[in-house]
Order: sequence, then C-alpha cells, then structure tokens
Amino acid sequence: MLLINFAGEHIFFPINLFSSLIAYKLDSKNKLYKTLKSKYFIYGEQDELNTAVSLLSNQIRTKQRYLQDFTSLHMIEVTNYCNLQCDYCQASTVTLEEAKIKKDNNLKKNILNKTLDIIFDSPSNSIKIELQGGEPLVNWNSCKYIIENAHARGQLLKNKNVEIIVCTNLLLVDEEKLAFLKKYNVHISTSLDGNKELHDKHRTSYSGNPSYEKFIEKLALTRKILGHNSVGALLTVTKSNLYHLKDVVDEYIRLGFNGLFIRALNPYGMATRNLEELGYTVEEFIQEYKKTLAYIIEQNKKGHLFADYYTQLLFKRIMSPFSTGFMDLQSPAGAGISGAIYDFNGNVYPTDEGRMIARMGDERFKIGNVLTDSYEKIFTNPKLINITKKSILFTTPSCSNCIFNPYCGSDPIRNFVESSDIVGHKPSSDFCKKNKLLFKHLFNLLEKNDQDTLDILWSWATKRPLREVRI
Amino acid sequence: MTSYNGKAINVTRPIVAQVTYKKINLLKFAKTAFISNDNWSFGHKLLLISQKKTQKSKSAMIVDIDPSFLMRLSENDIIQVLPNGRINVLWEKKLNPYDITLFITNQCNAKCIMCPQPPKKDKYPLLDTNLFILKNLTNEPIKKIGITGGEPTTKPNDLIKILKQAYQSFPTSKIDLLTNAKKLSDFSLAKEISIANPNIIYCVSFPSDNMEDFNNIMGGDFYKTTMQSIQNLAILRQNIELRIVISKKNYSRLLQISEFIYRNFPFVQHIAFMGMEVIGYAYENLQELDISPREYNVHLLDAIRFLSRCHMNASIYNIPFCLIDKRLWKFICNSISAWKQNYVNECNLCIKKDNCPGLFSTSKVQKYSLSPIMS
Repeated sequence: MLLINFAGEHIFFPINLFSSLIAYKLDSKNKLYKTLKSKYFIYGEQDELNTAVSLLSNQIRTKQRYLQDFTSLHMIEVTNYCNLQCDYCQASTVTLEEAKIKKDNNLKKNILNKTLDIIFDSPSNSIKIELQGGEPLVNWNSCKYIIENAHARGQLLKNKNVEIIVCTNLLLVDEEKLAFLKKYNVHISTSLDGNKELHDKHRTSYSGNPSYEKFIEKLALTRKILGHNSVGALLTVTKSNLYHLKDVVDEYIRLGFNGLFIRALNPYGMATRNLEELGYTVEEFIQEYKKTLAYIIEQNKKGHLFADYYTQLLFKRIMSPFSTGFMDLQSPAGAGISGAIYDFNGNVYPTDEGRMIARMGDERFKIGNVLTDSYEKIFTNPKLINITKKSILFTTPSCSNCIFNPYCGSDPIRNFVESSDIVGHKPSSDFCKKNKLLFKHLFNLLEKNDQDTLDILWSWATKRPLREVRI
Repeated sequence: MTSYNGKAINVTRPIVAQVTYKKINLLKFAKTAFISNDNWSFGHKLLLISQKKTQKSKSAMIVDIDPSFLMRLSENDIIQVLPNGRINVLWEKKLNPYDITLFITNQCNAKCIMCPQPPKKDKYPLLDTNLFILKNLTNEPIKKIGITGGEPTTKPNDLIKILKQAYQSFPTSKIDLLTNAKKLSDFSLAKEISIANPNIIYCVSFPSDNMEDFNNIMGGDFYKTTMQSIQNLAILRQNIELRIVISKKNYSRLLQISEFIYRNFPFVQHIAFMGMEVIGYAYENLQELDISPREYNVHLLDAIRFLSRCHMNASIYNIPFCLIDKRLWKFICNSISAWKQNYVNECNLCIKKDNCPGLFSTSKVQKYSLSPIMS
C-alpha cells in the first residue's frame, strides 16, 4: 500500500503491517522503521518531532513557492474572431461589441494601454504575456502594438523579465510578421491534432476546407525564422484521435516536437454542443492515456527525447521538493493569482474559462475592467479572494482526506461548470476522477521500479537528455 | 603532512619558519629557516643542517638531517620544528603548490565512531602558526585552503581570525571548512563565520538520515543540531557539501540518505561518499564498522543513481576504481592527500592508477584485495 505524508513524501508499505503501524506496534528492527522516521511518518523522541516539524514546514514552504510569484501569466484576448471553425472550439465568434471597438481606434488603444498598465502593476518579476483569441493574428495591429509596448516597458523596468507568447494556428503567418516576432523573441504556441487525417477532421475553415497542408508549410516557415524550439504545439483529444494517440505521437516526433500535452476536451464553448460526436468517458480517456504513455516511454528508450508534459508535471509533483507552475492544478488555485485573462473589451477574468462562461452569458467570474478599475481593485476583488480561499485542498471536502492532495490542485471555475459550485462535488467530478487515476497509474509505475522508465521520467522532470540522467 | 626527525639544538619551544636558501635575511620580522651546508648565515630564525655536528652557536638549529629530506624542501615551504627534533612540513610546495591545509585545533565536540584522528588537547596554541602560514604564502598561487581539526568551530574566535586573514591574503581562494556543524546551530555564530570570508564551502559530516544512526555514529546528540545548522547555513546562502563516510553502520541506507538530502536540503552543492581511513577510532571500532566496498557497491549505485537523476552533484572519495562498479567510475575523485596516498604492487599494472585515489597509507588495514584494471 501507499503512504504519503502531508509534504508529499511517499513509501510503499506492506499492507499486512499497516495495522501494527497504526497501533504503535511496528517492530523497530523492521527495515522500514527507520525510513518511516526519516520521511516523518512516525516520531519517537522530542528531538525527532522538533526536527520533523521544522524540516516539514520547510518542505511545504518550498512546494508553495509559486505563491510568491503573484500573477505572472497574463493572457490577452486580442480578438474573438477566428479564421478556422473547429467543431470542438471553446472560443466563439465575433460579436457586435468587438466590431464596434475595432472601428474606434482610440478606444481600442486605450483598452490595450490600460491592460498593459495592469499587467505591469503585477509584483511578479517574470511577466509572461500570452496573446490569444480567436486567432490573434487576425488582429495583427493589436498584436504588434502589445508586443512593442510590452517590450518597451520591460526595457524600462530592470527587474521585470518579459516573455511573450502568441497562441496561433499559424495560418496567417508570413515572413514579415515572423521577422517582427523574431525581433522581440516571441514564442509560438500552436495546435496540432495528429496526422493529416486526424488534424483535418476537426480543424477546418468556415467553408469546411482542411488546414493541415497549410499548417505544415507555415510551421516550417516559422521554425526557419524563429528557430526550431520556439514553437510548441497543443493537442486536443476528441473521440476521433483518442484511439489513434500512437499515430499522434508519431506525427509529433516526425515533426520534431520535444513532447506533447495529452489534453482532454474541456466542457466549454462549442465542445458542449457537439459532445455526442466529440466526447468520451474519463475511463476511456485514461485507458488510452496509459497506453500512449507506455508508447512514449518506448520511443524514449529508442532514443527520442520526447516528453508527455502532464506526466512530467505529476512526476515532478511527486518526486521533487520544488514548486511547479501549472495554474490549472494548484492549491490554492492559480486562477487570478498565477494567471489572469484580459478580454478584448478590457474585462478581466481569473481564468480563460471564466471568460468563456461570460461569453455564454454569465458574468459571475468577471473581476474587473481595465478601463474603470485599478490593479488593486481587480486583484483584491472579493470574488477572487473567495475563489482562492475555497480552493485550498486541505480544507476542501473530499480533497482534505485524499491521499493525493499534496500533489493535486483545484480549478474552481471548472468545478463551477461541473457542479454549479466553485468548491465542487468531487465524487461526481470528472476532473477529480481523471487526476486520481493518473496519480494511481504513476505510482504503479514507481512501484514497478523499472530503472529505464525512471531514468526517462527523471529526464523529463529535469529537462535533460537521457544520457545525462542515466549512469 | 610530511615529517622528519632530526636533532634539535637550542630549540626550547616549537618554532614555525619559512624555508629559504638565501644566506642572509635582512628582514628582521621574517622568520626564516635557512638550509645550510656550512654554518655561516645571518638573521635566520632557524638553521637546518645535514651534518651531524656543528660548532658552538646560540642559534636554534636542527642537525643530522638526511640530505634527501632536505632536498624535498623548497624555497617558501613552511615548517614547524619541535624541541624533540621533529620537523613537520606544514606547507610543501613540491607536493601541493595550490593548497594549504590548516589545523585549527585537535579538540572536538564529537566522538565519531569512525574518526581517523581522535581528538586530544592542544599542546601548543595553533592560531599563530596558522596566521603565519596565511601571511607568508601570499606570493604563492593558492587556490584552496582546507580548514580542519579536530572541530574548527570549537575555537570560534581563532577560526574567525583565520577566515578573515585567509580572505585578506587570498581573496579568491576557496575555503573547505570541515565541520560537524553542531555549533552552527547558533545562528549568530554561523552568521559571524559566514561574513568572515565569502568563499567558504562547509563540508559537513552527514552520516545518516535518521536520528538513531546519526547520533550513534557521531557519538552524541548531533542529529537535531546538525539539521538546524544546515538550515541556518541555507538561510545565510552558504555553500554546503555533505559528507557521508561509509561504514557498516550506514551502508545499507545510502539511498535513503540521498533521498533525505534531496527532499530536505536540495540546495546543497555537493554530496561526497567517502571510504574510511582505518586508523584512530576507526581502527579501534573496526569490527562494528568494517565493510568492503564490493559489498556496498549496490547501495552506492542506488544512491548515486538517484542523485544523478535529480541533478544533484555527487562524488566518491577515497575508494579505488577496482573496488567500485564501473558505472560509478565517473564519480570517483582523486581525493586522498598526496602525502598519505598509497598504492600496492598490483596497482603498477593498472591503467587507472594515475587518476585513482589509491589507499590511505595511514590505514592500518589494507586488506581489500585490489585487482588492477587492464583495459
């Protein structure tokens, strides 16, 4: 059986000894006795207890380090319009309001300037700005304006390290735009759902035209100008590619990506409307995920350095003493305090999902507007404080006594979508079910103790080639 | 250190002096030891003479020194002579042109079961000797200063003076401070030491991951204070190396010790696994301690594999190549001081000899059968 202490250290413990352990009757000559002490599961003397308290509090403080970096990810919704119409898309189409703002150049610039004001009021030293959409390149002028101005502000402030990412389907890039992005060292995050057949199944234009060929052509151009490693890709798993994830991995490796994020479909936007065609159960997803992870590990054994990013994250959470940044899985939640999203009209939300819910007509997660509210007012909005307070797993029903809570996190807005409550109802939550199954799977891998697999997982966790990790 | 026994004349107390081949010393403050074949010299503190007899003189001198010993000495070497005629070479240019080793005290507040150099009272104060060494080698290209004992922190005032002098004389030299760190659980002292010299690496004895073994090996209540001390040093942003001397008491927990370090002290710069020098208490307690590297290889492999995976620096000190799993060879350091490095006949056939730490010549047990590596 698995024992985990509240700082996240674990032991595989023989189940037949558990009753003697909790009855204080474990033989002190047992091989695990000293290990239980050194990992602070048990204490005998006052000195052990004092040392345990001081070292465990260090460990917990180290793991919570991300809290010191208050709001470093800032996502700007440059436009809501997209040149593709993917059937699973969480974003939606252009509104009258946006069309109106687009015509009013002064208003547009005012919103962008105020947005940057708020972003640079953040106390974080590393400012990451992500341009999103819709398709941000549709509104290239705004992109240019934001990148130039963010860069200039970064130059003025010596203590701020500014990093800019554009989330784009790449179809609108050209040499001129890329030269501009190169100048400001911008990174690209794009989407790739697999090989031509899988990609074109969902990623099509309004008239239904496929996008794969053009994507490949533009990917090559982008890498040529920005450098190979400046492009990352995201995968959306639908019913169509769920059972072909091996092919997806092959395609990612063939195109020279260093890893992929096997991202389950989120219950927002159009995805909720097309669920019948796109969706799958958590169990189906996990079953395919495990197979795919095994396949990826095999590819690593063959010499490809290729990571599954979610496994990388969970493995780091389990094995390393350090804090890991991933705003969708933090306790307290990263919503608002690790990242925030700014809509084209200046509205601010704690997460992208909060904005999507607003788009569906419910503004409950709006924490302010850059035109009317100060940084302080937005980031001390009682709604945000409430979200943060109610997303601490140690105090959340079902999570507080879950063995995996030192590694897990909360996504309050996802909780709201699932259960109409930001705390969430874990027994019926797919989010919870998915993460628990993944943790279990990872601990199974750890217990098997296959040295090659461990070398590979550590090579992902420490971002080093296998030959440097392996001895 | 290299030592030699000659015959002392007019030496009533220990004299520390710097070796010179120049007949005349005009700098009154400079304490020099002149290596002489005749008796004519001027202004030296001490004469070193190979002849048996010498004409009457009031000068302090050591006579009847084997010429081959005198040949070893070079200009600027630092020696200490004792009234009984013993010459200790405190700094030997030919052997260690870039290193200085300073003994702060022979006293210690621990009683480690595997201590090669059991603590004793200091017969003479050592502070002036250490300051003399630091002040007189400023023209030498010193890269590293080892500060050891006994336990240096039991003489905190001396230690701080020496650290300050070391910084003045050698502002860029690294300082290896060997310590059990118990006293550094006092934050004020840790702070005072850390600001005395910015180049210190604290080489802290770290024998175990659990209190029982830790205190048992160190011979006292060290677990709690050492853990506190390491945290203090981390708060002071100091460089830390943890040293694990491998014995029968801890060999089966090398992996758990490594896991403990990574979880609690991931900020340490270096972790050293060390073979025992079997002399002193280590020899007295040999029955309780003795374990062959061949037997603990598998545990050492687990430990270093773990540390290497999580990107921690680890090294193996004091264990020869032929006793270690091939996969661990790249972690072996040529760590035994030149003056006590020993090889056996078989070693002459070994292709690894030049990089191998060999054995401690000081170890009273040299029985682990070595097998030369031929290819």
